[in-house]
Amino acid sequence: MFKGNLGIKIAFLIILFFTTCGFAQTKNKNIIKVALLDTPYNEMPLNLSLISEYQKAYLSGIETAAHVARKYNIEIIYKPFFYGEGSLDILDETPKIQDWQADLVIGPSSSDQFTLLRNALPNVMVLSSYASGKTLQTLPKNFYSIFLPDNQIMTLLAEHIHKKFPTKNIYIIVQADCKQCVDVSKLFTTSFNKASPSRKITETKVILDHINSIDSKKLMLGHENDVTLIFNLTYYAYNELVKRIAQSFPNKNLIFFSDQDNWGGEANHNAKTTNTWTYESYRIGPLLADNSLPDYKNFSKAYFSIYQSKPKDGVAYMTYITVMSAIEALNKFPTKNENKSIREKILNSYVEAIKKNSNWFRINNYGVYELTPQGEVLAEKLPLPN
Amino acid sequence: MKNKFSHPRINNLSTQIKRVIGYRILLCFFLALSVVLTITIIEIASSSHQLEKNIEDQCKSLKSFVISQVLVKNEDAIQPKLDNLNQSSSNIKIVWDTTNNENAQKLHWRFPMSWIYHYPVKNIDGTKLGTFDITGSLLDDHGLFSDLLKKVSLLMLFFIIIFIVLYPLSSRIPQQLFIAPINNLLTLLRKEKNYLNGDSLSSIPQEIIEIKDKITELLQDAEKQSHEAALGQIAMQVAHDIRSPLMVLNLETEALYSISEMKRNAIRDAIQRVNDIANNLLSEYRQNRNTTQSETTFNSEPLVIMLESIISEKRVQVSNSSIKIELDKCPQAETFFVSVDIAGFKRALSNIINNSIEAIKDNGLILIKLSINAGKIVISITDNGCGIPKHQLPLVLEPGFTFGKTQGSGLGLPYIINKIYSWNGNYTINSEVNEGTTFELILPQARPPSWFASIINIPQDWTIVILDDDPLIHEIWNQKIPNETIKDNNLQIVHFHTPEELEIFCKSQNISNTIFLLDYELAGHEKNGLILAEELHITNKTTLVTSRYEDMNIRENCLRLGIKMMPKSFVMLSPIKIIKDVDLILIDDDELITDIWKITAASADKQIEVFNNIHDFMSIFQLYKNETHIYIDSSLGGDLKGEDFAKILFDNEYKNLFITTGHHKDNFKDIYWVKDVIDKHPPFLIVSS
Repeated sequence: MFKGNLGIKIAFLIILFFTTCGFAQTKNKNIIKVALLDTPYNEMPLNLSLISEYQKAYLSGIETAAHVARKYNIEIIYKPFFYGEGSLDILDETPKIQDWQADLVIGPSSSDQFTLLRNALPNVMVLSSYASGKTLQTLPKNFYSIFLPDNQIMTLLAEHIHKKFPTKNIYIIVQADCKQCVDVSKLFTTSFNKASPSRKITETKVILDHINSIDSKKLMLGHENDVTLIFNLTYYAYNELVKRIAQSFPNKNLIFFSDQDNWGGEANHNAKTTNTWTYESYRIGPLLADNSLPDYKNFSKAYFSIYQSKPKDGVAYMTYITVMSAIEALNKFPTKNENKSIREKILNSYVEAIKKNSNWFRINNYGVYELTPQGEVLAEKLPLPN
Repeated sequence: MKNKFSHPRINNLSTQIKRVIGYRILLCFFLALSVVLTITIIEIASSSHQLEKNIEDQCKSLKSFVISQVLVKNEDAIQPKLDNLNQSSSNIKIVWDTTNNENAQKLHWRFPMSWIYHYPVKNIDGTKLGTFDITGSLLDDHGLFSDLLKKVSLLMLFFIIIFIVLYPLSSRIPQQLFIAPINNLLTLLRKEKNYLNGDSLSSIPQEIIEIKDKITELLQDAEKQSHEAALGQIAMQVAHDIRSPLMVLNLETEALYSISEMKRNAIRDAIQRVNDIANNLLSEYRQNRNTTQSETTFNSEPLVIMLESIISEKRVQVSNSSIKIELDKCPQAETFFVSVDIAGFKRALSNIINNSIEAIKDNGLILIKLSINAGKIVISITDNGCGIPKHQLPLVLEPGFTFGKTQGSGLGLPYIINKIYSWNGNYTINSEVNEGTTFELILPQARPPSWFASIINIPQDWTIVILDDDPLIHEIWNQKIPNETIKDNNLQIVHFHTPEELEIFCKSQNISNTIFLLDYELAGHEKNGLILAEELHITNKTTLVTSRYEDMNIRENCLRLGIKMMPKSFVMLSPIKIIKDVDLILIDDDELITDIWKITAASADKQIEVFNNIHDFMSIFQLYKNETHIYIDSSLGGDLKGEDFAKILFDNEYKNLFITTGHHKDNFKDIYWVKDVIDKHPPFLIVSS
């Protein structure tokens, strides 16, 4: 993890030191040890500045949550367990988390990685900020994601495309080695068939290890006029693929859709770089920086009080809200048995909270973002069906 | 039917050389090819090892992917992922196989040029998920095979060049190296010496010169062997024919009791000499033929006796002429012993004297002089014959050369010289024409043989018994031991002529203080002196006095019985020692010590007898009284220990035994037979006390 990045390690250690000092001064408070189990490697190319930005944003969300939690007389100690890019690297970290005796685990954003934790972390609440895959339904009750499940998102997307492009057929490109992507494709097909049974849907499974080696002409041949949905693992890879395809069809008005979460998108890293290519690129995602949401308001206020600036990236809010979901569960559904550990209390309270509200702390406001040379802009808000 | 004289198919030299060179080139080619192939195989093995390692690394990362896909139940993605990899790699193909039972990572070679690698994959809980089957082709390693091709091509080129260079030589080599030099050789062998100019010699290879020398040597050897074989054949025939009449003569001589023993012995010696010469001729011929080393054994022999025997014989030989043979010996000549074979020595000396006899025409003198020079015995035979010219002196040593003799075979001197060398001796020849020739035979001195009695020891008050069938011998003994000696030492001499007289004496008398001087051969009686000594148990006090001392059987029997032997001709020469009673005896190999003891004993008025050789003492110790104090040095030289000899004396009832030593007394323990161990100072006070 963080190969060769000594500066970042030192930064973590300093934060950990001050956090621990704070812990020493507040013995009478409830202390929650939060393990941060995630990786930036799945999301972006190995670019040090990007990774650094992402980590700062990620941790600023946690810091903000910790700041807010103190009002509840709760002290949050966190420790990153960031893993490498190997498919099973996440499982190397779980024994360390157990050794640290974490009370709460903020798990990975990837649905497939989250699913891998099925048997690795029992008896502790494991939360994800972004996991949405169909397989989450099969996980034990101590696993929960505050992200809306894919079936609901795909229903929104299918209806949106049906309405916006009523005559176009659908061409789906799926990353074969992403289980969530494969499942999403199926969910979309089901939803779209319901909405528009007469239109043709074609699916192609690809491996996106080396985007530059993909024969984009061959891939798109015959589907230049369709609406192309690309279900893959990262938004970065999506954008790269779209650019490559658009380069091959300069005179075609290609239309692309993605369901990715656009980590770091706010920093305009994935902005449409040129107007030369006449393609359209859309992404369905939650409306994060929505000041109408009370949670976001609270977050934004707390964030400002700490950093004296507005939050730059949605990931900060997502990690904030994920931690806060546990604080609120503990607060609203307290465990009566005081002899239980804080870990058991969180687990019991959270299970109770989900029981009361199956969409506990999930964001209900979604929209379609369009990629422009200036970055993403919200094209349309999508009402969540009841 | 095959003609037995038909030759096998013979190829010319050129063909044979072509074939030999061809085989060598072919062999070298295959060897070099093997080396190239071996190197290539090693490179392939190394390459395979690297390949295996690379594949293993690749499989490790793929393994995580496969397990993760299985865990999220997305197995369908596995093969597409591998296909994607396969597309990017032209060398290898990876297939995910869930049916393969292979459990070990293994690289298999698949005939002819491909390979397969199985990499089993297990889930995190250890259950088997499947296997990566990776296939590839060795030919894909272009560098490896182009390298091999390059090496083989270079090898082929190299051998083609060698072949092109060597092939024409197959015709030139025979002419230059064989045919021309052999022609030269043939010319040489025809003794066309003029042909041997510098240029022609330089063109002849060294090997051909060596062959020429060998052939010349072989021809000379063959000629010599032919000559020797002819002579040997004659010698063998003579030896064979002469044996039967000699045997008759010998038997008849034995029965001639009417003549004196001395004459009988002279005849027997002459017969024996003839017999020895015949045997010698025969054995030497056989040795030459078998080219084996001589088996003749050399023994220490009394020189004067041998010389006198030969001179007597030669005097008889020249008795009808006016040639005189004289012997001039130095005073100590009686103690000269030489290590020779008697027959060979007599024959050699006989030959030398014969040469002198033949060189003297009318009146002449042959003077045989016996002397010692620088520790070596010198026998010089000088004649006043015709002499040999100086320039021909070296030639007389050549086989077949004779000078001044009408019937010489030329074999005498080479034989004599060989013999002299075999005795570790040397020789000189000096000759002046019309003045004469001197032949000097130089021999190393030898110790007296163990059977030889060089002295007659007679203790005071003892009886001397002499048994001999020849009255003359009795007379000689009477002269040897005069009446004064007998009286002074209270001796008694008893003369016997027959075995029966001796037997009666021994049975009727106390013989404890008696010594016996017995003849071996007793004419007309079956028993000889040795048999009598053995039967009468007097071997320890007997000396055999006989003319048959040369007989090897008698020598062996004497050694067996511990009896010393004195040649009859030596009786008059041998000293007689009267052993008197002494107070003490000292045996020490250090003459300085024995001298000190002698001087000190004289001043202390003690009678002492000293011996520097323990064997001298042990041969006569029984002549001393048992009460005598005997001092023996502990270290007698070599491995001889005084304690061991003291034990023998102790067992023979000598009880006053002492060991003298320079070492500490504590070094001598458990030697109960010794009364005391003392230092080397004379202990006369102790003895007197």
